[in-house]
Parts: sequence; structure tokens; C-alpha cells
Amino acid sequence: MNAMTLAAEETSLSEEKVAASPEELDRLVFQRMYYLKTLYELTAELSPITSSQKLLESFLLMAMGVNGSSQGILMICDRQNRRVLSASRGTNDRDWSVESAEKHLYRGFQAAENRRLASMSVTFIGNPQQVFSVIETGLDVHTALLFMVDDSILGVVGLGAPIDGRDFTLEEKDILSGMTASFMVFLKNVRAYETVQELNADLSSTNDALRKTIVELTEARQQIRILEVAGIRLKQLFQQKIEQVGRFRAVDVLVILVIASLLSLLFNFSNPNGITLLPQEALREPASQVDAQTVQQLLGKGDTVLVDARPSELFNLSHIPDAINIPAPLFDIIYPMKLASRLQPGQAVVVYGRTFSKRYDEEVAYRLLQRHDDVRVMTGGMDAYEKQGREP
Amino acid sequence: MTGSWMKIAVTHPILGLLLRIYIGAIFVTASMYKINYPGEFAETIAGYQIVPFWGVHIIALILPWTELICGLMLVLGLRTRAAAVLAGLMLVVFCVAIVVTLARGIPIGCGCFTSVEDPLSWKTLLRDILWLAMTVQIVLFPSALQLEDRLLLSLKEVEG
Repeated sequence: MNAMTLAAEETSLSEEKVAASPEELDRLVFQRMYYLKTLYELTAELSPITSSQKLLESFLLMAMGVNGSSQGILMICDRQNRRVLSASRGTNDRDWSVESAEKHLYRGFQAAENRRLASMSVTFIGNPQQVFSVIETGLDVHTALLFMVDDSILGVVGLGAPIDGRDFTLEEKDILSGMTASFMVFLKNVRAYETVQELNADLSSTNDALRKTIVELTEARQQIRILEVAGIRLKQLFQQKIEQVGRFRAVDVLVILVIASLLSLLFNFSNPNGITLLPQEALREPASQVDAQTVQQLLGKGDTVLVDARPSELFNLSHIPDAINIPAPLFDIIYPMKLASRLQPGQAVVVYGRTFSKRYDEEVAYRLLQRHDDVRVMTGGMDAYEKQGREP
Repeated sequence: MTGSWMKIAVTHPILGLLLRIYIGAIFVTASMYKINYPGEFAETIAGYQIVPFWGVHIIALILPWTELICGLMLVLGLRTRAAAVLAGLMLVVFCVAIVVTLARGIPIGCGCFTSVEDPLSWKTLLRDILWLAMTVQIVLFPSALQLEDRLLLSLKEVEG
């Protein structure tokens, strides 16, 4: 039943009573004032509250104050969202399950004075003790109200017996109905506010997630850009390498020469047939020298043997008359055959034969010096000797 | 028509491959004796009377190894052009040396493969010029089965 309807009915009832007696009129006016004052106080109390739970607790306290009950419970079941809100006073707070809440509400409906409950309407429950057993609620319910906020939200208020033990008066029930009706308006507002808050929180978290995603995307974009640049560089590098492969490069020739030099030196070091970097003749002390003119004089006296140290091919091409050809590689074979047998004691040996590329004379002179004391190298070689010969 | 066929034949990668292996093998073979007996090779170099006496041994050591590396690179197809250019340069030097020696009338052996060989002649020069022409073909035109082609292929794959 709507509070306004109740009030209207009460007013029409009062009008009948006004006609009856002036005392009754005073009492009715006082009642009405009390009714309005209570509603005003309720409004003042509930209007700053923004939480459903606090609203429930405040309303229960005020409802208990109507007839001075020391105990009370208030339970709301949101069937759509499967949630139960409850408040209690003077009894243990109970944790309602949705099933248990629905069971009690169903029982309440069965015992309701008005079973066809509409939205934002209130009805008293006929036999509250049966609906709310003491064992289940921990409370001896004296008066109970069933209310429907909308199709999905139903609630029940249960109050214990007043302190003085008397029953609720009709006026008190009227006030309780009015208060519950106001409470429903506040509840609806608070729930709307809470929904807005939740939506705002959702929106805020969504915004946060979105911001984070944007940051991540920006970072990803930067990474992609870096990768793209790296990719382009790699591609350029590959193209460069591809172009280089198969093309002639001077540096390759240099590398081959360096490797060949290193390997040759390394191998020569361990090669049993290895050679020195410079010819031995360049490293040794040169043999004592004699000029072509002196050689000619010595040869004339017959005190000297002339040795041509060049390879036989060059010797065969041209040589000084009477010279013996002893090339260094064949020294050990030719020396005993051609020179050792012919050389008289006291005779000197003069060696000649060198080119731009090799000092054959020094090489053979060195070997001869192992066997003879007087070994000399003719300066100027064959050319100087022949030139000397042509001069008068 | 004949001209285009000639061009195809001369620039054919298979010809490049054959010449590469032939020249490479000659260089490898030529280097073997010289590497083992550098003293004898030094005598041969001195016989040409072109290198100053202090440089004969150094050249006798390095030249055979250069021949060996170039020869191997030509056979394998590794940095073919660089190896062919270097081989060509060596052949040019050999040709110049032969011409100078023949002109001077110095009777020495070639010393190209071993120290004991027939005396230098215009035939030797002709042979070296023929080898030089082959290296020119290798430098100018691509040849088949090059080791670097494999690398090139994988690089192209990566790029693709």
C-alpha cells in the first residue's frame, strides 16, 4: 500500500471524525503532526547517506524508534544481481544467503495482508512469528513489513516487541508504512548513486587500461620503427655484401700476399731445405780482393789459378781463357777433379763471376778458403779483365 | 651468327669453370717443388738476372706460396676475380722475364715447375701468354660452381 494513499484515506477518515468531536480532532491533528515530524526527521536523517548499508542501518534504527522496539532486522534481496543486504539491532547479525532470503520473502508473501504487491508499496505480514522463527533470525519478531522497491528488489523489516509490551497502534503502523515508503525512495536513489559510482569506477578502470594500452602501443610503435630501421640497414648491408661478392677488390690481392708471406716464413722456418732471408754471401765477411790488372800480371808469372764460379751455361757462353769452371752447387765434385790435382804449393787462387742477382765468386771463394790460404776475388769480374786485356 | 656463337662459347660459365680449374691446378703444381726446395728456386731466380741479389731469397720464399694460394682459390671458386688478377699479374711478370732473358741470350732453364728443365725458348713465352689469356677470361666472365655463389644465394634468401 502506498504511503500517500494511506495518508489520503486517513484524511478522509479524519474528516468524518472531525464532525464527531473537537477533542478527537485535536488528537488527530497531533497525530498528523507527529506523523509528518517523524517523516521529516527520517528524511533529514537519510538524505545525506550515500551507501545502501548505512541507509539500511539508519532506517532500521528509526523504525525501531517508532514504538521503542529493542530488536530489529532489515533485509533486502536483489534477485536480479543475486545480492542480499541486511542490518540488525539487538540480535546477532546474520549473513543471509540469497536462497534463505528468498525463502523468507516467499513465506512473507504467503502471510502478507496484501498479496498483490506493486512497486514502491508496503504491506504488513499477518503472522510474523511464523514467518520468522526465532531460531532462524535470532529474534522474536513482533511486527513485520514486506516491501517491494521494484520487480527485482524485495525487502522485509522485522521489529521485536515494544519495550512496554503493548501491540502496535494503527497510527504507529501508519507511520511505519510511511517511513518504509520514504526509505524505498531513498534506497532507490542510493542504489542509483551506487550504480553510477560503480559505472564510474568501471569507466575509470577502463580508462586506466586504455591509457596503459596506448602507452604499450606507443612503445610497440617505437620498437617497430627501430626494427624497421634495423631491417633497412641490414638489407643495405646485405646488398653491399652481395655487390662485393664476385667483384674484384685490391684488398683481396693484398690479403693473399700477406697470407702467402706469413705462411712462407712459417713454413721455411720448419723446412729442412729452408733458406735465409738474405743470401749467405751478403751476411759473411767478403773475401780479400784483387784487381784485374794484378790478376793479369800474376797469371803471366804462372803463380795463379783462375776459377770461374758461374753456372756452366754462362761459362760455356764466354769465359777468361785458362779459367776453371767450378759452380758452387757442384763444388764438391769438380774441385777434387779439376783444381786440387792441378794446384801447386804457393799458387794463389783468384775467383771471379758475379751477376746483378748473385755473387757466385764470394760463394766459391768461401769454400776454397776452407782448403787454401791465398784465395782472392777479382773485382770487376770478367768485364774488367777483358777491358784490361784490350788496353795497350 | 658465327660471331654470336663465339661470344656465347667464350663467355660460357662452364668454360670459365674449366679454365679456372686448369689454371688453378697449374699454379698449385708449379708451387709444390718450389715450396719444398726454395734454395733451388732462388738459383733459378738469380739465373734471370732481374732481381737484385738481396731480394732473391725473399721472392723465392713468397712467390711459390702466392702461386699455391691463388691456385687453390681458383679451383675452389673463392674470390675468383682477385685470385685470377693476381695469377695474371704473376704471368705478366713471368712473360716479361722470359722476353728479357731471351733478348739478353742468357741460356737458362725456365724453372717454372722444377729446377731441371729445358732452356727457355719462345715456346715458353707462347705458353705463358696462352695461360695469361685464360686468366683474362676468368677475370672478365662469370664461371660456374663458385663457392661464393652459395653464399650469395643464401644472402639473397635472407634479403628476400
